[in-house]
Amino acid sequence: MNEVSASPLSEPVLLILLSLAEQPRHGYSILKDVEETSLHRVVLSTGTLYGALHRLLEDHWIERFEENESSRGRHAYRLTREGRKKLRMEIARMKHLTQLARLRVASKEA
Amino acid sequence: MTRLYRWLLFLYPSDYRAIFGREMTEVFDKAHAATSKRGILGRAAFYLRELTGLIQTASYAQIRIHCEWADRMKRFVSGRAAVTALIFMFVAIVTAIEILKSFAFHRHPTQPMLWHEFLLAVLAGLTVICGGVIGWAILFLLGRSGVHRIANIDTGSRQK
Repeated sequence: MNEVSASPLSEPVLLILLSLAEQPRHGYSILKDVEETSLHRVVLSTGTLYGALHRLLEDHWIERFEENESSRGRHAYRLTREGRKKLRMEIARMKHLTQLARLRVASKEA
Repeated sequence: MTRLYRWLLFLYPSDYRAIFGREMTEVFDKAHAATSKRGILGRAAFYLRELTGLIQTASYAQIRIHCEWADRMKRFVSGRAAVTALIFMFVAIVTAIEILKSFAFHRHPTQPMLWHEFLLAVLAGLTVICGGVIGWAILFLLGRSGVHRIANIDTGSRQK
């Protein structure tokens, strides 16, 4: 049985984690990706983005690293194993919810 | 605009600013440049979003820092270090009282009363102050050494 997360993640946090699940990114890249994947519904401010990144770093769900030698001091972010696990749990939770909703709605319509 | 944003970053705690300050300014710069093609309403929405986001997260970061500090102090004060310091202060006060008593009972009758009492008060006061300062120094040095964090170290002994 899949593990299901106890408390749901907020949409911005989920989108940030999804953005980093694909590849490591730096701040602005996360900002743009979140905007695009949410079809311009979630537009993060710089402060909100870094507030969320700060919390995710503290929880060890993501890690910060220097992107490459040529761009010294430029930091990027990537998911940790713990972060990936939490993301999978959240996806399982959402999947369960979607299945339940589909069943209930279908039984009502039938 | 970047200068103003950099100035507003001072609303964040210094540690937060040291880690993210430069990155946040860069991201703001890029996002600001991207809004240049939008109309006046688009730019106004951008500034409003940035301002509210910054105030909200800066307040949150400040509250968290103060809560952490208060929690750390609470744990520290209730620790053994505080008990040691309080014992030290208590001994200093008792010693001061004993000094006052011994001088009062062995006072030479020919000595002027006021001068003698003044000396006693100074001596007792100095003893209490020295006790307090030493007690405070013990607390301060232990706090600086980070010894209170030892209690927070997870040795993994609970994981079976």
